[in-house]
Amino acid sequence: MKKISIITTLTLFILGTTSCEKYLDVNFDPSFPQVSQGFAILPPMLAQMSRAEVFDGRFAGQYCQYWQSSGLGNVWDRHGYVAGSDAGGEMWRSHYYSIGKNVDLIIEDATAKQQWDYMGVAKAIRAWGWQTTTDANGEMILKQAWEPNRYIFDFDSQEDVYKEVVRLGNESLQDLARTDGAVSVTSLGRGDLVYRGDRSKWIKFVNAVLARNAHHLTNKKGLYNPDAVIKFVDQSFASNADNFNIPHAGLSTADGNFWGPLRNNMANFRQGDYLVKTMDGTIFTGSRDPRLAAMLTASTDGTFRGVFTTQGDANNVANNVRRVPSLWGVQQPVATAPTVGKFIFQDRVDHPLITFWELQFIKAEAAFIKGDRAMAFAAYLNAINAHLDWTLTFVTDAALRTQFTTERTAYLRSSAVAANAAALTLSDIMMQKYISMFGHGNMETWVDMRRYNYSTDVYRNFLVPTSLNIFPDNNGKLAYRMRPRFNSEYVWNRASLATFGGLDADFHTSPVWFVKP
Amino acid sequence: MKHFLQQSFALLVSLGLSLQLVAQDRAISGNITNAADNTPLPGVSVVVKGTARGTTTDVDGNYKVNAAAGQTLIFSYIGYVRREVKVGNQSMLNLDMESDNNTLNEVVITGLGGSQEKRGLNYAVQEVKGSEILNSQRDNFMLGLQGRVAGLQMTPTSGTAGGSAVIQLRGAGSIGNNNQPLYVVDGLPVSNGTFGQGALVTDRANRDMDYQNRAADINPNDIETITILKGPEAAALYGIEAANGAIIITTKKGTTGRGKISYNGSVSVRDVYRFPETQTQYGRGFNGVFNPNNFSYFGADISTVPGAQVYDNVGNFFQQGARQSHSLSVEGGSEKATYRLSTTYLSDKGVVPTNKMDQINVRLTGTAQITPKLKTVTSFNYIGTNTVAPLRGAQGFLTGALAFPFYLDASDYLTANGTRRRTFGEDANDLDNPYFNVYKNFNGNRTNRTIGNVQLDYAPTKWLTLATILGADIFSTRYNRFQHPESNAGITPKGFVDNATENSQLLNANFRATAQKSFGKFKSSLMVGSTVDDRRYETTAIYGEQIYLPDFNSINNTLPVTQRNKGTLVQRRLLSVLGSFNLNYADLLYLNVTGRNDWSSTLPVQNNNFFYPSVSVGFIFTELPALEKRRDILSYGKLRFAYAEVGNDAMPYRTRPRLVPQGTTGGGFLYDFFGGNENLRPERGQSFEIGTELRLFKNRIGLDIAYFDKRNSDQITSQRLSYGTGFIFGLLNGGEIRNSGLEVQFNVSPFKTKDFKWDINANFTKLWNQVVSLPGDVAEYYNSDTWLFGNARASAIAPNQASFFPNLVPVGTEGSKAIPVRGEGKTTAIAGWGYLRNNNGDILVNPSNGLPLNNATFLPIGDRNPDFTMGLQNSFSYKNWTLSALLDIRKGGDIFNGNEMFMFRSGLSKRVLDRSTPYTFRGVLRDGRENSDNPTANTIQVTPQFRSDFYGAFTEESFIERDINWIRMRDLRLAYSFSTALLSKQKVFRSGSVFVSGNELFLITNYTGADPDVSATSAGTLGIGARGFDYGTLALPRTFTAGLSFSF
Repeated sequence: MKKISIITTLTLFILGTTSCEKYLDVNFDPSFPQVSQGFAILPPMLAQMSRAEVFDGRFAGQYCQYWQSSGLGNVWDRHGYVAGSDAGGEMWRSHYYSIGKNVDLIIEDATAKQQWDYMGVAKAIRAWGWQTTTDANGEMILKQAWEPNRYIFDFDSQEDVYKEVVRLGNESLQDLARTDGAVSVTSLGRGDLVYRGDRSKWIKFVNAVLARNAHHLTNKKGLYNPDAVIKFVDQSFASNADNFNIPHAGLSTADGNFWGPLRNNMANFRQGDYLVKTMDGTIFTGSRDPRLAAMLTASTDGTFRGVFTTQGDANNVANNVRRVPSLWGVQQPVATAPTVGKFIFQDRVDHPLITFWELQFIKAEAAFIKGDRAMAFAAYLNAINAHLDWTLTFVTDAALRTQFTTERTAYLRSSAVAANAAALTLSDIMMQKYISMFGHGNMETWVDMRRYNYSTDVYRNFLVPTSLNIFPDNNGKLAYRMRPRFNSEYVWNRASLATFGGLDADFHTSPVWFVKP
Repeated sequence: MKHFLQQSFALLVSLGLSLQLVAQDRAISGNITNAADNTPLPGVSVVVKGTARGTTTDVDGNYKVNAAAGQTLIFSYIGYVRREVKVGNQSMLNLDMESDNNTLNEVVITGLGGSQEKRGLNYAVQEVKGSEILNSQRDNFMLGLQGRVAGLQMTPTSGTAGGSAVIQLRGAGSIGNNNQPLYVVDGLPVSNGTFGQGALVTDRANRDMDYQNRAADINPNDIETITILKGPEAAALYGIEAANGAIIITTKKGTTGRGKISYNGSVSVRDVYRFPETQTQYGRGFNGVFNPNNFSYFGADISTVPGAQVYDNVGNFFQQGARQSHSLSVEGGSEKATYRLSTTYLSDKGVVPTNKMDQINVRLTGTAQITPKLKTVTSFNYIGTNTVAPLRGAQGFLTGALAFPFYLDASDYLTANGTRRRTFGEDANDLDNPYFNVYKNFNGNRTNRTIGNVQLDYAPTKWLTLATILGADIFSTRYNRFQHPESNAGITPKGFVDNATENSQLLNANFRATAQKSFGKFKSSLMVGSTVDDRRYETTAIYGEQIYLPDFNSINNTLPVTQRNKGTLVQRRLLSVLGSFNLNYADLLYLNVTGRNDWSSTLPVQNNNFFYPSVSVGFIFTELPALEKRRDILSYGKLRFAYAEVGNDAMPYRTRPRLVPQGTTGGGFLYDFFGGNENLRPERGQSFEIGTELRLFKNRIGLDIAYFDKRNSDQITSQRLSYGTGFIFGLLNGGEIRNSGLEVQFNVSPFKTKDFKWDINANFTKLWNQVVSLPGDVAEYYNSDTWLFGNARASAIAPNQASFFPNLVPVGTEGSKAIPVRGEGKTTAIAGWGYLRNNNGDILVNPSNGLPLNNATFLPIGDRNPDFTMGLQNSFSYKNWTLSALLDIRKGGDIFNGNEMFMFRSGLSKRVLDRSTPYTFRGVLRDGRENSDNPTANTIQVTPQFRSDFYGAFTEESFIERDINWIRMRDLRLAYSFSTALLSKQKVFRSGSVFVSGNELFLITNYTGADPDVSATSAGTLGIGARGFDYGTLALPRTFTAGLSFSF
C-alpha cells in the first residue's frame, strides 16, 4: 500500500512538472467552435437580415398604417412605444450583435484565404446594416463600435453613419470587383443563399444600398443629388430577378418565415383601414386594385375591411361576419388549425429586402425632383408592373390568375395610375410605392413617410392619430424614430444617450437627421 | 517494498499468535451504566483489543465476552467517552460511561478525511449531528439545516416533492458565480450541481422547472455528523470551491461487536394551507363589461347573478401529499474490520397532482485495519431518483389555478371528445387549466448515481502519516419535458418534446503527508499535500415539435424535420499543492498557517495559477494558570483570529467567445451571447474573522461569537452591456463586494435532573453586504434568471446611483422624501421600475388620464437582506420521552410579491375589489410645473371599475413588501424510546422508539402572500439567487409524520 502512496506522489510530481500544462490545456470548447469559416457564417447572417427588418417592421407597419393591432388603443398604433421594452430595437441587436462581429470573423477568414468575394459580401451586409439601422434609430455607436475592453460607447451623428455606408459600400464594391485569389462562384455559392455566388448581383445590391443612402436625403437641399441617385439605381437591379430575396425553408419555427403561421407572430395584427382604402377604390375612386384580393382578405361577408388605427377591430369575435381577417387570410387565429397563410405571410416564402420596383420608385422620385418627367414616368410604370408581376406569383389558382390579369389591365388605365408623364404627381409615385412596399418594405415606407412628414398632400386621405388617441408622452407629435434597444443602450449606456436627448420622454418623436432640411 | 513484506510477515505471525491465545480465554461479564443517571446502557460495543472478538450490551446493559488476562477491553458507544480497560484476574467488569458532551476534547472532521481537535481550530465551525437532521424528517437533508447553524441561510426553491434547496454560508461572495458551499462526503468532494436549462436545445432560463440539486442525494440515514466550515479558511484544505465554506459530511461506519440490524420508517401526510387569495366577485372583462374572452377580471360584478356558483379552484387543485420512507441497515465488525450496509426507499407524493419523487439509496461502507500501520476506508453509494415535477412560473400550475375563472369548475378540463376545454372562445392568450397542465404535460427526470471512495492511511512511523483518497462521483440524468399541443406553451410549436441526457463524471484524488513533532511545550504538525480534480459534464439534448399523437410522450412522436440536437461537453481540471503548519504552545496558544496554489484549466495560461495563504491564531485563556482555578465558572474560553485569502477560477471555455449553431435556413454558426476575455484573472477574496468561544458552569452554558469581514474583488461576471461590444454579455473582471456578519451560537441547559432535561440551542445571524464597485463600473449587475415577472429582478447595485442617472430627479438616500432608493450599494437588491417623481419626491401623474407615470429604469427598489435571522431549538426530555421544537425567526428583508402583482394587474387580487370607489392618485400633475414651488396636485378622479388601465399603472415598486418578518415552526417532534424494562421481556428487539413530528406547522408573518420563504428559480441559478422572489411557485407544505425505529 505504501507503493500506492509512492505511485500517487510520483504521478502528481510528474504531472506537476512535465505535463501539467498539457493536462490543463482543455479550455477549448469541444462542443462549440470558437473559430469558423465564411461559408458557415454567411447563411445565418442572411437569415438575421430579414429577421431584423421584420421584427421592427411590425411596428413601422403600424406607424405607416399598413396594419394595426386588433385591440383597442395599441401603443404603436398611437405612435408610441413600449417603455422598458426591446420592441423596436431588433435592428440594433442585429447590426451590433447577431450580424455584428460575425462580419469581422468572415473578413478575418477571407483575408487569410484571399476570398475577396466573401470579404465584399461581408462588408455589403454591414453597410446595409448601418443604413437600415440608422434610418430607424438615428444616432448610432460608430467610431467606438466593437472596440475591445470598452464598456461605455459614444454615439455618432447620423450624418457620420451615412458617410460610413458610402465608405464601406465603396470598399465592398472594390472587393467584389476582384477576381484574383480564391474568388469563385462555387466557393461563395456555398454560403450565399441569396445570389448563389453571383458577384455581379452583389455589386447591384451594394448599389441599391447606396441608392437608398443617397436618396433619403431629399430634404437636404445642399446634399441631395438626384443624378447620383439615378446612377446608383441604374447600376443596381435590372429586374425582379435581381431582388434581394432571403429564402425560408419553413420546416420548423426556427427556419420559418417570421410572418408565416408557423411562427405565429402576426396573430394580433390586422390589415389597416388606410391600406384597404388605397386599393378598394375609396381613395382612387372606382379603381379596384388587382392586388387587393391577392395581398389582403375580405371579411366573411365578402367586404374588404381594415382596422382603423388605434381603434382595434370592434367585430373581433368568433363568427362575426364583419370581423377583419388575419394577415394569413383566415378568420380565426390559426395556432391550432393548420393553414398555409397568404401572400408573403407564409412559412416558406422568400422575403425580399430590396427589390427592383423599390429602386424604380426611387428613380421615379429622384427624376421627378430633378424635373425629368419622362424618366420619372417610365420608372414609375416599371415599378408598378414589377410589383404586379411579383404579386401575381403568389396567386396560384388559375381562375384568380385570370381575374388578376383582367383587373390589372383595367387598373393600369384607372385613376390610380397616372395616365402620362405630364399628369404624374409626386403623390402618384409615393402612393403606388406605398402599396407596393406593403409587408416587406415597411421600414422603407416609414422613411418615405417621415421624409414627407406624413403629409396628406403626398399620402392622400392619410389620417394620423389625433390628440385623444396619440401616445401621451408624444406631446401631440408623430413618431420619427425608434429608440435604440432598451436593454442595450437605455440600461447600460444611458449617459451617452443623455448627450442628445435620448432619455427624453418624447425622444421617439424627435426627427432624425435625414428628415431635417 | 522489502520492508513492507517484512511487516506483513510479522503481522501474520502475530495473528497466528493471537489465535493461539484464544485457548486461555475465560468469560468476563459485566454491566454498563450511564454515569449520569445509573441507568443501564444497551448497545455498547465491547471489543477485545487486537482481535475480531466482541459483543454488544443487551437491553439491561449486560455483556459477556471471552478474554485473557492482560488483554484490553474497549467499550465504545456513540455519544459517550470511549473506555479501555485492561483485564486482570476478575471475571466481572462493571463500568459506567460518561456522556461525551465534554467538548473540550471534541474532535471535528475538517479536512480530507482527517480530523482535528476542535480547540485547535481558530475559525468558526459548527457541527450538526446526523440524528438531528434525520429526526427533522426531510427528504432533502439541506432543509434540515435551516435554523440550526449561525451564518447559514437555506432557501427552498419549491415545496414540490423533489424540489431543491440553496445554501449560502456568510452571504454571497460572488455576484455572478456559484456561491453554494462545497459538499464533501468522507473526504471526497461530491457534486451539488443542478441541471442548467441552458444545456437544452431550447436554452431556457432556470425558472420554469425545478431540478433537484445533487447534494440532496445524500441520505440522511447515512449521516453521522455534518461539520460546517463557514469561512474561506476551509479553502486552504479543499480549494477554491470551499471559498464559500464547506459542508463536510461524515457517514456512519459499522460499529464493532455483535452485528446489528436496524430499521426505521416513517409515513407522512402533507398539505398546503396558505394560498394567495383571489376575489370571486368580478368576472372576466374590461372596463366593467363582462367579456368571457378577456384574460383579466375587470368585468361586471357577477356575484349578484342568480345561481352564480363559485369554485375554489386553487384549494381544490392541491391534493394531500403522502410520503413514506423505509431504511434498513446491517452493520457489524471487529476491531480489524467493520461494515455497514444501508438501504433506504423513499416515496414522496407531492401536494400538486402528478408530482412525486421516488428514491432508492444503497450505501456500503467498510473499514479495515490491514496492518497495524495501514488502514483503509472504502465506500460505495448508489442512488436512483425518479422525479416528476410539474411546471411552475408563468406557465405553471399556480398561476393557472389563480387565473382560472372562479365561476367555472377547473377540474372539468376536458371536452367530451377529449380535447382541452377552453375558457376563451379561441386559443390565443388563455392560461393553461392547472389540471390540464399537470395531467397532459410531463416534466420529469431520472437520475442514476454512483459514488465510490477509497481512503488509505499509512503510518510508517509514529510521527508520520501518509493518506490518500481516491474518489469518483458518476451520475447520469435523463430529463424529459413533453408539452401537449393544446397547452399554451405548446400551441405555437404544436406540441414539443424537450429532452436531455446528462452524464457527469467527477474524479478527485488527493494525497497528504503529515508529520508531527513535539519539543518541550510545543507540539507541531506539518502537512503537505496535493490534489487532482477532474470534472466532465456531457449533455446530449434533443428537441422536436409538431406532435402527431397528442398524448404520446416520445421524441419519435415529433415531426422529424423539426428535431434538433445539441451536444455540450464541459471539462474542468484543477491541480493543487497545499501545505499547512500547526503549532501549539502548552494547549494555550494555537497557530495555523496554510498555503495553497491552484492551477485551473479555465483561465488563460498566463493567469492560470494563483496562490492563497491563511493564518490563524487561537488563544485558550482558560489554560492560563490564573484562570485554571475558576473552571467551575468559566470552564473554557478561547479567543481566535483568522485571516484567509482565496482565489476562484472562471467557468470553462469562456476566455474566447464561442459560436453556436443556428436553426435558421441553411444552418451555420453565429457568435453566442457571451463575449470572451483573453486577460481574465482569477477572482480574489480576503476574509478576516475574530471570534470567541466561552463555556460556563461546567459547560451548562456555551457561547460562540464570530465576526467576519470578507472582501471579494476581481469578480468574474457575465455582465449585460451595450451591444456596441458585439455581444449581449461581456465577460468582465473587476469590482469589489464586501460581506460582513455577526454569528452567535448559544446553548444552555437550564434544567437538568436525573429524569428531566431541558436544552436550549439558539443561534443568531446578522449579515451586511456592500457593493464597493461593480465590474466595468456599471450601475447594476442583474441575474437574468430572476427577471421572471414584470420588471423586477435580483441585482447587485452600485452605490451612488445619482452618478449613473444624472438626468433623473436627485436620488435621495434611503428614507428621504425624494426617490425612495432601497438596496443601493447592496448585492441583495431588487432592481425594478418605480414611479416618476418630481424633485420633491412626489409621484408624477399624467394630466391626461390621472394615472401615475412609470419610471422605466431599473433602480433599487428593495433589499432582500434580512436584518437578522435566528434559530431557536428547545429540547425537553423526561425519562423515555423527548420533545424538541425548532423555531426559525427572521426579521426584515424585502420580498417581491410577483403573485400579487400578477393578480392585481389581472383584476384577481382582493385588493382590487374596491374598484367601484372613485380614486384620486396622490401625486402632482406633470404639467410643466411639477418642479416649481407650486406644483399642481392631482385631482383627477378615476373610477377603476370603468378604467381598467388604472391597475396597470401601479409599478413593481408597489409590490415590494418591505421588512418581512416571520416566525415559523420548522420542526416539532415528540419521541418515545421503549424502556429497557419493556424490551427485556422479549429477545428479538434490542432497542425501539416511536415518534410523531411535524414540519412547517405554523407561520406567523406580516407578508401578505402565501409564504415569503421561496425562490422562484431553481438551484441552478448562480450569483445571489432568487430568494425573495415570490411568483408562481409553491412554498414548503405542512407535514405530519409518524414513525418508528427498532434494531435487533
